[in-house]
Amino acid sequence: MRKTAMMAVAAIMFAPLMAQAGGPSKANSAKAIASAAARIKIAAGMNDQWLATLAAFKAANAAQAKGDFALAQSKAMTAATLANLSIQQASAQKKLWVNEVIK
Amino acid sequence: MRLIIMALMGASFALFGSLASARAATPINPQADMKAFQGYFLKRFPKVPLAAYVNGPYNFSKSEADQWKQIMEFPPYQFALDTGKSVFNTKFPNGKDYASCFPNGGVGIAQNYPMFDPKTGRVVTLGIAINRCRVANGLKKLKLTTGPMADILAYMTSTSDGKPINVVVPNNPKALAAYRAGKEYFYSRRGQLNFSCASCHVQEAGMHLRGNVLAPALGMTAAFPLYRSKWGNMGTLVRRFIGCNKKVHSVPAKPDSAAYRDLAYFLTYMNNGLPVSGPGARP
Ligand code: HEC
Repeated sequence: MRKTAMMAVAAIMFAPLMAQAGGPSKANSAKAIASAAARIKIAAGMNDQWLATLAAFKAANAAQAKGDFALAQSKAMTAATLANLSIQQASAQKKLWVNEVIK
Repeated sequence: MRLIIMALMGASFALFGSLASARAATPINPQADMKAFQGYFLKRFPKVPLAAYVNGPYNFSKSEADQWKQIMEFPPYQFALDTGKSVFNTKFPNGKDYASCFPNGGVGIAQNYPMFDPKTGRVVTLGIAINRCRVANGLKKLKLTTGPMADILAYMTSTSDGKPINVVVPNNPKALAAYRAGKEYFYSRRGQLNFSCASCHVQEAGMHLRGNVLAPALGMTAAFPLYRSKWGNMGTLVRRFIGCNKKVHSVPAKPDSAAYRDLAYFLTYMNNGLPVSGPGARP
Protein backbone atom coordinates (compact mmCIF):
# COMPACT_ATOMS: atom_id res chain seq x y z
CA MET A 1 0.00 0.00 0.00
CA ARG A 2 2.70 2.47 1.05
CA LYS A 3 4.65 1.34 -1.96
CA THR A 4 1.85 2.10 -4.40
CA ALA A 5 1.29 5.47 -2.77
CA MET A 6 4.96 6.32 -3.20
CA MET A 7 4.85 5.17 -6.75
CA ALA A 8 1.86 7.38 -7.37
CA VAL A 9 3.67 10.38 -5.87
CA ALA A 10 6.71 9.61 -7.92
CA ALA A 11 4.61 9.29 -11.03
CA ILE A 12 3.06 12.70 -10.42
CA MET A 13 6.43 14.30 -9.66
CA PHE A 14 8.15 12.89 -12.70
CA ALA A 15 5.24 13.15 -15.06
CA PRO A 16 6.31 16.47 -16.58
CA LEU A 17 9.87 15.16 -17.22
CA MET A 18 8.60 11.98 -18.76
CA ALA A 19 6.21 13.86 -20.95
CA GLN A 20 9.02 16.09 -22.14
CA ALA A 21 11.21 13.17 -23.16
CA GLY A 22 8.15 11.41 -24.43
CA GLY A 23 7.89 9.04 -21.39
CA PRO A 24 8.82 5.38 -21.57
CA SER A 25 6.43 3.59 -23.85
CA LYS A 26 7.08 1.10 -26.59
CA ALA A 27 6.28 3.71 -29.21
CA ASN A 28 8.50 6.39 -27.72
CA SER A 29 11.51 4.15 -27.23
CA ALA A 30 11.06 2.88 -30.77
CA LYS A 31 11.06 6.48 -31.95
CA ALA A 32 14.26 7.18 -29.99
CA ILE A 33 15.86 4.08 -31.50
CA ALA A 34 14.87 5.13 -35.01
CA SER A 35 16.30 8.59 -34.54
CA ALA A 36 19.54 7.16 -33.13
CA ALA A 37 19.75 4.84 -36.14
CA ALA A 38 19.51 7.83 -38.47
CA ARG A 39 22.37 9.62 -36.72
CA ILE A 40 24.44 6.44 -36.71
CA LYS A 41 24.01 6.14 -40.44
CA ILE A 42 25.30 9.66 -40.97
CA ALA A 43 28.32 9.04 -38.72
CA ALA A 44 29.13 5.86 -40.64
CA GLY A 45 28.99 7.76 -43.90
CA MET A 46 31.60 10.14 -42.50
CA ASN A 47 33.94 7.24 -41.54
CA ASP A 48 33.69 8.17 -37.90
CA GLN A 49 31.60 5.86 -35.78
CA TRP A 50 32.52 5.38 -32.15
CA LEU A 51 32.53 1.96 -30.53
CA ALA A 52 30.52 3.36 -27.61
CA THR A 53 27.80 4.55 -29.97
CA LEU A 54 27.18 1.07 -31.33
CA ALA A 55 27.40 -0.43 -27.84
CA ALA A 56 24.69 1.92 -26.56
CA PHE A 57 22.59 1.29 -29.65
CA LYS A 58 22.88 -2.45 -29.19
CA ALA A 59 21.86 -2.10 -25.53
CA ALA A 60 18.87 0.01 -26.58
CA ASN A 61 17.68 -2.67 -28.98
CA ALA A 62 18.21 -5.41 -26.42
CA ALA A 63 16.20 -3.49 -23.80
CA GLN A 64 13.47 -2.82 -26.35
CA ALA A 65 13.24 -6.52 -27.14
CA LYS A 66 12.95 -7.30 -23.43
CA GLY A 67 10.20 -4.71 -22.95
CA ASP A 68 12.31 -2.37 -20.78
CA PHE A 69 11.24 0.74 -22.67
CA ALA A 70 12.70 3.22 -20.18
CA LEU A 71 16.16 1.69 -20.52
CA ALA A 72 15.73 1.35 -24.28
CA GLN A 73 14.88 5.02 -24.57
CA SER A 74 17.78 6.20 -22.42
CA LYS A 75 20.31 3.99 -24.23
CA ALA A 76 18.98 5.17 -27.58
CA MET A 77 19.37 8.77 -26.50
CA THR A 78 22.95 8.09 -25.40
CA ALA A 79 23.65 6.46 -28.77
CA ALA A 80 22.21 9.47 -30.60
CA THR A 81 24.26 11.90 -28.50
CA LEU A 82 27.46 9.97 -29.13
CA ALA A 83 26.70 9.73 -32.84
CA ASN A 84 26.10 13.47 -32.93
CA LEU A 85 29.48 14.06 -31.29
CA SER A 86 31.28 11.91 -33.81
CA ILE A 87 29.45 13.72 -36.61
CA GLN A 88 30.64 17.04 -35.17
CA GLN A 89 34.15 15.65 -34.85
CA ALA A 90 34.16 14.46 -38.46
CA SER A 91 32.74 17.77 -39.74
CA ALA A 92 35.36 19.75 -37.82
CA GLN A 93 38.11 17.44 -39.12
CA LYS A 94 37.10 18.16 -42.71
CA LYS A 95 38.87 21.48 -42.18
CA LEU A 96 41.25 20.65 -39.36
CA TRP A 97 43.11 17.67 -40.80
CA VAL A 98 45.30 19.86 -42.99
CA ASN A 99 46.91 21.29 -39.85
CA GLU A 100 48.48 17.90 -39.11
CA VAL A 101 49.92 17.32 -42.57
CA ILE A 102 53.70 17.00 -42.85
CA LYS A 103 54.90 19.81 -45.05
CA MET B 1 27.21 15.00 -16.13
CA ARG B 2 28.69 12.70 -18.73
CA LEU B 3 26.38 14.19 -21.28
CA ILE B 4 27.52 17.71 -20.35
CA ILE B 5 31.16 16.75 -20.84
CA MET B 6 30.33 15.15 -24.15
CA ALA B 7 28.44 18.24 -25.24
CA LEU B 8 31.39 20.44 -24.32
CA MET B 9 33.68 18.19 -26.35
CA GLY B 10 31.32 18.56 -29.25
CA ALA B 11 31.31 22.32 -28.95
CA SER B 12 35.10 22.36 -28.96
CA PHE B 13 35.29 20.24 -32.15
CA ALA B 14 32.98 22.72 -33.81
CA LEU B 15 34.86 25.77 -32.53
CA PHE B 16 38.24 24.60 -33.77
CA GLY B 17 36.60 23.65 -37.00
CA SER B 18 35.32 27.14 -37.66
CA LEU B 19 38.63 28.72 -36.66
CA ALA B 20 40.43 26.72 -39.30
CA SER B 21 37.82 27.18 -41.98
CA ALA B 22 39.66 30.13 -43.46
CA ARG B 23 42.35 27.80 -44.84
CA ALA B 24 42.28 27.41 -48.57
CA ALA B 25 42.14 23.99 -50.20
CA THR B 26 45.64 22.83 -51.13
CA PRO B 27 46.40 21.38 -54.56
CA ILE B 28 47.12 17.63 -54.78
CA ASN B 29 50.80 16.90 -55.34
CA PRO B 30 51.70 13.35 -54.30
CA GLN B 31 55.35 13.68 -55.34
CA ALA B 32 55.89 16.77 -53.19
CA ASP B 33 54.03 15.15 -50.28
CA MET B 34 56.29 12.11 -50.46
CA LYS B 35 59.48 14.21 -50.49
CA ALA B 36 58.27 16.17 -47.47
CA PHE B 37 57.12 13.02 -45.66
CA GLN B 38 60.41 11.17 -46.08
CA GLY B 39 62.42 14.33 -45.41
CA TYR B 40 60.57 14.92 -42.16
CA PHE B 41 61.57 11.55 -40.69
CA LEU B 42 65.12 11.60 -42.04
CA LYS B 43 65.66 14.95 -40.36
CA ARG B 44 63.98 13.95 -37.13
CA PHE B 45 65.86 10.65 -36.77
CA PRO B 46 69.20 11.32 -38.47
CA LYS B 47 70.65 7.99 -37.30
CA VAL B 48 68.02 5.92 -39.11
CA PRO B 49 68.79 5.48 -42.82
CA LEU B 50 65.84 5.58 -45.24
CA ALA B 51 65.79 1.85 -46.04
CA ALA B 52 65.82 0.93 -42.32
CA TYR B 53 62.34 2.37 -41.83
CA VAL B 54 60.90 -0.85 -43.19
CA ASN B 55 61.92 -2.38 -39.86
CA GLY B 56 59.45 -0.18 -38.03
CA PRO B 57 59.72 -0.39 -34.26
CA TYR B 58 63.06 -2.20 -34.28
CA ASN B 59 64.92 1.03 -34.98
CA PHE B 60 63.72 2.44 -31.69
CA SER B 61 63.95 -0.36 -29.16
CA LYS B 62 67.14 -2.32 -28.53
CA SER B 63 65.30 -5.01 -26.59
CA GLU B 64 62.78 -5.54 -29.39
CA ALA B 65 65.57 -5.55 -31.97
CA ASP B 66 67.51 -8.17 -30.01
CA GLN B 67 64.42 -10.32 -29.65
CA TRP B 68 63.79 -9.94 -33.36
CA LYS B 69 67.26 -11.18 -34.33
CA GLN B 70 66.63 -14.27 -32.26
CA ILE B 71 63.18 -14.83 -33.71
CA MET B 72 64.46 -14.46 -37.26
CA GLU B 73 66.68 -17.53 -36.89
CA PHE B 74 63.43 -19.45 -37.40
CA PRO B 75 61.18 -16.89 -39.05
CA PRO B 76 57.64 -17.33 -37.70
CA TYR B 77 56.16 -16.52 -41.12
CA GLN B 78 57.97 -19.41 -42.82
CA PHE B 79 54.98 -21.72 -42.58
CA ALA B 80 52.68 -19.10 -44.12
CA LEU B 81 55.22 -18.47 -46.85
CA ASP B 82 55.46 -22.16 -47.77
CA THR B 83 51.70 -22.62 -47.64
CA GLY B 84 51.19 -19.48 -49.73
CA LYS B 85 53.61 -20.71 -52.35
CA SER B 86 51.88 -24.03 -52.76
CA VAL B 87 48.42 -22.41 -52.85
CA PHE B 88 49.67 -19.91 -55.41
CA ASN B 89 50.98 -22.73 -57.60
CA THR B 90 47.88 -24.91 -57.33
CA LYS B 91 45.55 -24.83 -60.33
CA PHE B 92 41.96 -23.65 -59.91
CA PRO B 93 39.21 -26.20 -60.70
CA ASN B 94 38.91 -24.57 -64.15
CA GLY B 95 42.57 -25.31 -64.92
CA LYS B 96 43.79 -21.72 -64.63
CA ASP B 97 45.86 -20.34 -61.77
CA TYR B 98 46.73 -17.16 -59.88
CA ALA B 99 49.67 -16.51 -62.19
CA SER B 100 47.26 -16.12 -65.13
CA CYS B 101 45.68 -13.04 -63.50
CA PHE B 102 48.85 -11.00 -63.03
CA PRO B 103 51.61 -9.46 -65.11
CA ASN B 104 54.83 -11.52 -65.02
CA GLY B 105 52.86 -14.46 -63.63
CA GLY B 106 52.47 -12.60 -60.32
CA VAL B 107 56.18 -12.85 -59.54
CA GLY B 108 58.06 -9.74 -58.42
CA ILE B 109 55.11 -7.36 -58.76
CA ALA B 110 54.08 -6.63 -55.14
CA GLN B 111 56.03 -3.36 -55.11
CA ASN B 112 53.50 -1.89 -57.58
CA TYR B 113 50.50 -2.27 -55.25
CA PRO B 114 48.14 -0.70 -54.30
CA MET B 115 47.39 0.20 -57.89
CA PHE B 116 44.81 2.51 -59.39
CA ASP B 117 42.43 0.74 -61.75
CA PRO B 118 41.21 3.18 -64.40
CA LYS B 119 38.39 0.80 -65.42
CA THR B 120 36.64 0.91 -62.04
CA GLY B 121 38.13 4.21 -60.90
CA ARG B 122 39.16 2.55 -57.65
CA VAL B 123 42.32 1.59 -55.83
CA VAL B 124 43.14 -2.13 -55.88
CA THR B 125 45.37 -3.58 -53.18
CA LEU B 126 47.21 -6.81 -53.90
CA GLY B 127 44.74 -8.63 -51.64
CA ILE B 128 41.78 -7.25 -53.56
CA ALA B 129 43.50 -8.19 -56.84
CA ILE B 130 43.88 -11.75 -55.56
CA ASN B 131 40.18 -11.85 -54.73
CA ARG B 132 39.30 -10.49 -58.15
CA CYS B 133 41.33 -13.28 -59.68
CA ARG B 134 39.46 -15.84 -57.61
CA VAL B 135 36.04 -14.44 -58.53
CA ALA B 136 36.99 -14.31 -62.22
CA ASN B 137 37.77 -18.02 -61.93
CA GLY B 138 34.59 -19.01 -60.15
CA LEU B 139 35.99 -19.08 -56.61
CA LYS B 140 34.83 -17.30 -53.48
CA LYS B 141 36.63 -14.27 -52.13
CA LEU B 142 39.02 -14.83 -49.25
CA LYS B 143 38.93 -12.87 -46.02
CA LEU B 144 41.31 -9.92 -46.46
CA THR B 145 42.73 -9.84 -42.94
CA THR B 146 44.42 -13.17 -42.19
CA GLY B 147 44.45 -16.89 -43.08
CA PRO B 148 44.97 -18.11 -46.66
CA MET B 149 44.95 -14.53 -48.01
CA ALA B 150 47.86 -13.61 -45.74
CA ASP B 151 49.67 -16.79 -46.88
CA ILE B 152 49.29 -15.95 -50.58
CA LEU B 153 50.32 -12.35 -49.92
CA ALA B 154 53.33 -13.57 -47.97
CA TYR B 155 54.51 -15.61 -50.94
CA MET B 156 53.81 -12.95 -53.58
CA THR B 157 55.46 -10.27 -51.45
CA SER B 158 58.52 -12.45 -50.90
CA THR B 159 59.09 -12.57 -54.66
CA SER B 160 59.50 -8.77 -54.57
CA ASP B 161 61.92 -8.83 -51.64
CA GLY B 162 64.22 -5.81 -51.78
CA LYS B 163 62.58 -4.23 -54.81
CA PRO B 164 61.87 -0.52 -54.37
CA ILE B 165 58.23 0.26 -53.63
CA ASN B 166 56.81 1.86 -56.72
CA VAL B 167 53.21 2.98 -56.26
CA VAL B 168 51.91 5.19 -59.05
CA VAL B 169 49.30 7.92 -58.75
CA PRO B 170 48.46 8.61 -62.39
CA ASN B 171 47.25 12.00 -63.51
CA ASN B 172 43.63 10.91 -63.42
CA PRO B 173 41.04 12.84 -61.37
CA LYS B 174 39.77 9.68 -59.65
CA ALA B 175 43.27 8.48 -58.80
CA LEU B 176 44.16 11.87 -57.37
CA ALA B 177 40.89 11.95 -55.42
CA ALA B 178 41.60 8.48 -53.98
CA TYR B 179 45.10 9.56 -52.98
CA ARG B 180 43.73 12.68 -51.36
CA ALA B 181 41.03 10.74 -49.52
CA GLY B 182 43.70 8.41 -48.12
CA LYS B 183 45.76 11.38 -47.01
CA GLU B 184 42.75 12.98 -45.34
CA TYR B 185 41.93 9.71 -43.60
CA PHE B 186 45.47 9.42 -42.28
CA TYR B 187 45.55 12.92 -40.84
CA SER B 188 41.94 13.14 -39.56
CA ARG B 189 41.28 12.62 -35.88
CA ARG B 190 38.57 10.11 -35.20
CA GLY B 191 37.15 7.86 -32.51
CA GLN B 192 36.14 8.81 -29.02
CA LEU B 193 39.82 9.33 -28.10
CA ASN B 194 40.16 11.91 -30.89
CA PHE B 195 43.43 10.63 -32.42
CA SER B 196 44.54 10.54 -36.02
CA CYS B 197 46.93 7.95 -37.43
CA ALA B 198 49.44 10.81 -37.50
CA SER B 199 48.92 11.57 -33.79
CA CYS B 200 50.58 8.26 -32.96
CA HIS B 201 52.71 7.44 -35.99
CA VAL B 202 54.05 10.93 -36.77
CA GLN B 203 53.86 13.14 -33.68
CA GLU B 204 54.60 10.30 -31.23
CA ALA B 205 56.73 8.14 -33.56
CA GLY B 206 59.52 6.30 -31.78
CA MET B 207 57.86 6.80 -28.37
CA HIS B 208 56.53 4.01 -26.21
CA LEU B 209 52.86 3.31 -25.70
CA ARG B 210 51.98 0.67 -23.13
CA GLY B 211 55.06 -1.42 -23.86
CA ASN B 212 54.87 -0.97 -27.63
CA VAL B 213 57.09 1.25 -29.72
CA LEU B 214 55.08 3.48 -32.01
CA ALA B 215 56.39 2.78 -35.49
CA PRO B 216 57.03 5.88 -37.62
CA ALA B 217 54.56 6.19 -40.48
CA LEU B 218 57.45 6.01 -42.94
CA GLY B 219 58.10 2.41 -43.97
CA MET B 220 55.03 1.22 -42.13
CA THR B 221 53.51 -0.78 -44.98
CA ALA B 222 56.70 -2.42 -46.26
CA ALA B 223 56.87 -5.54 -44.07
CA PHE B 224 53.26 -6.70 -44.52
CA PRO B 225 51.87 -9.25 -44.33
CA LEU B 226 53.51 -10.05 -41.03
CA TYR B 227 53.51 -12.54 -38.23
CA ARG B 228 52.68 -10.82 -34.99
CA SER B 229 53.34 -12.66 -31.74
CA LYS B 230 50.41 -10.88 -30.12
CA TRP B 231 48.10 -12.25 -32.83
CA GLY B 232 49.78 -15.63 -32.84
CA ASN B 233 49.42 -15.74 -36.63
CA MET B 234 49.74 -13.75 -39.83
CA GLY B 235 47.96 -10.50 -40.54
CA THR B 236 47.63 -8.15 -43.46
CA LEU B 237 47.90 -4.37 -43.49
CA VAL B 238 44.10 -4.14 -43.30
CA ARG B 239 44.14 -6.18 -40.11
CA ARG B 240 46.52 -3.60 -38.66
CA PHE B 241 44.24 -0.74 -39.75
CA ILE B 242 41.33 -2.42 -37.97
CA GLY B 243 43.36 -2.84 -34.77
CA CYS B 244 44.57 0.76 -34.78
CA ASN B 245 41.04 2.10 -35.41
CA LYS B 246 39.82 0.18 -32.38
CA LYS B 247 42.64 1.58 -30.24
CA VAL B 248 41.04 5.02 -30.51
CA HIS B 249 37.55 3.55 -29.86
CA SER B 250 36.51 3.95 -33.45
CA VAL B 251 34.48 1.39 -35.39
CA PRO B 252 36.78 -0.03 -38.10
CA ALA B 253 35.89 0.30 -41.78
CA LYS B 254 35.14 -2.77 -43.90
CA PRO B 255 38.32 -4.55 -45.05
CA ASP B 256 37.58 -3.85 -48.72
CA SER B 257 36.16 -0.35 -48.14
CA ALA B 258 37.20 2.67 -50.17
CA ALA B 259 38.48 4.20 -46.91
CA TYR B 260 41.04 1.43 -46.37
CA ARG B 261 41.98 1.12 -50.04
CA ASP B 262 42.68 4.83 -50.23
CA LEU B 263 44.53 4.84 -46.91
CA ALA B 264 46.78 2.00 -48.11
CA TYR B 265 47.32 3.87 -51.39
CA PHE B 266 48.46 7.04 -49.62
CA LEU B 267 50.58 5.30 -46.98
CA THR B 268 52.34 3.00 -49.45
CA TYR B 269 52.97 5.87 -51.86
CA MET B 270 54.78 7.65 -49.01
CA ASN B 271 57.12 4.63 -48.93
CA ASN B 272 58.11 4.82 -52.58
CA GLY B 273 61.76 3.94 -53.02
CA LEU B 274 61.97 1.92 -49.79
CA PRO B 275 62.60 -1.82 -50.22
CA VAL B 276 59.76 -4.33 -50.01
CA SER B 277 60.57 -6.40 -46.93
CA GLY B 278 57.57 -8.61 -46.32
CA PRO B 279 56.65 -10.97 -44.97
CA GLY B 280 57.77 -9.59 -41.62
CA ALA B 281 57.61 -10.38 -37.93
CA ARG B 282 56.61 -8.20 -35.00
CA PRO B 283 56.27 -8.67 -31.26
C1 HEC C 1 46.75 5.48 -30.10
C2 HEC C 1 47.89 5.38 -30.97
C3 HEC C 1 47.69 4.81 -32.34
C4 HEC C 1 46.93 5.32 -33.35
C5 HEC C 1 45.99 6.51 -33.28
C6 HEC C 1 47.18 4.50 -34.51
N1 HEC C 1 48.06 3.51 -34.22
FE1 HEC C 1 48.92 2.25 -35.51
N2 HEC C 1 49.98 1.38 -34.02
C7 HEC C 1 49.94 1.76 -32.69
C8 HEC C 1 50.79 0.88 -31.91
C9 HEC C 1 51.00 0.96 -30.42
C10 HEC C 1 51.39 -0.01 -32.82
C11 HEC C 1 52.45 -1.06 -32.52
C12 HEC C 1 52.13 -2.32 -32.00
C13 HEC C 1 50.75 -2.52 -31.42
O1 HEC C 1 50.53 -2.23 -30.24
O2 HEC C 1 49.89 -2.95 -32.13
C14 HEC C 1 50.84 0.33 -34.14
C15 HEC C 1 51.19 -0.32 -35.31
C16 HEC C 1 50.80 0.06 -36.58
C17 HEC C 1 51.28 -0.51 -37.80
C18 HEC C 1 52.32 -1.62 -37.92
C19 HEC C 1 53.72 -1.05 -37.91
C20 HEC C 1 54.78 -2.08 -37.87
O3 HEC C 1 55.88 -1.81 -38.37
O4 HEC C 1 54.56 -3.17 -37.34
C21 HEC C 1 50.62 0.11 -38.82
C22 HEC C 1 50.78 -0.15 -40.31
C23 HEC C 1 49.73 1.08 -38.23
N3 HEC C 1 49.87 1.04 -36.87
C24 HEC C 1 48.88 1.90 -38.94
C25 HEC C 1 48.02 2.83 -38.36
C26 HEC C 1 47.05 3.61 -39.10
C27 HEC C 1 46.88 3.58 -40.60
C28 HEC C 1 46.38 4.38 -38.20
C29 HEC C 1 45.21 5.29 -38.44
C30 HEC C 1 44.03 4.64 -38.90
C31 HEC C 1 46.96 4.09 -36.89
N4 HEC C 1 47.92 3.13 -37.02
C32 HEC C 1 46.56 4.71 -35.72
C33 HEC C 1 49.24 2.83 -32.18
C34 HEC C 1 48.39 3.65 -32.89
